[in-house]
Amino acid sequence: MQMRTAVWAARVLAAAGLAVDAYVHADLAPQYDAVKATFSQGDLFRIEAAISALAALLVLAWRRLPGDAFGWLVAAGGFALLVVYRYVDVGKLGPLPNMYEPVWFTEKRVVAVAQLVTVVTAAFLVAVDVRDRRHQRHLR
Amino acid sequence: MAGSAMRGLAPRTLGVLGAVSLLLALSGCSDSGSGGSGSTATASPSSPAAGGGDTIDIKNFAFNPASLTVKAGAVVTVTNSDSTTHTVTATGAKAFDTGDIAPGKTATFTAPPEAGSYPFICTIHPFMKGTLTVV
Repeated sequence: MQMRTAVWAARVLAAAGLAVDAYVHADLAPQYDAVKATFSQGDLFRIEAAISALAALLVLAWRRLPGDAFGWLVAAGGFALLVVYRYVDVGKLGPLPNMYEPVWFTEKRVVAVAQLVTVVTAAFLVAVDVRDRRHQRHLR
Repeated sequence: MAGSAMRGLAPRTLGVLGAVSLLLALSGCSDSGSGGSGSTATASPSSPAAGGGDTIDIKNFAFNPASLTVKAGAVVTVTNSDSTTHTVTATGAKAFDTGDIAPGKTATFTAPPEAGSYPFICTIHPFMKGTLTVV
């Protein structure tokens, strides 16, 4: 029973983190249209927002290993990119603009925390999913 | 019980839910601001103000106006209307520098005493460019 509550809490937290990730990226996207190569940073923020929204839905409604793993991947990938572009002047990468921005501000901090919450909770969900799969395989 | 029902969602239902979530995310993008389309402002140069009314507004990663004319030693007020931090920093010998201006905050700098043209940038977003002309 306690485990079930923990799984539900993790699921809600992971989905909430992804929802925050989606909202903030969608909200900031118009401003970041100014940072562009072939694609603008705003375009990439919209893609991140759409993928995060989809991942939140999968984590909350589908509740299976591929969905939970997808949620973890979206959050971990997003956090890695955020940190890299905060500290490393990557430059333009083909059609991608140089998104180097050596500063923290409120929205960026909020997204980083939300992504970290999802990374931790989705990792827990993936571990539980894998354990359940193994358990079901044993029962067959 | 409800959880097991959700687990049994058909792939087609999940597809519809996914499409709805994508549409919601994309519609969220379209109603949250005017959206900048260029890296520099297109406002016309301003003429020098008589008494401390020299201002630069930063919005959508652009200086408005991009070219400002002021008197020597004038105090220029910079407002950051963006959601991220910006600076107004003279290139080269850094004749002036506001330092970091947090979102929604205002900073001031004093124009150089010598007449001339002083290009400036945002050091955080170096593609943002402007020019201060001192007369």
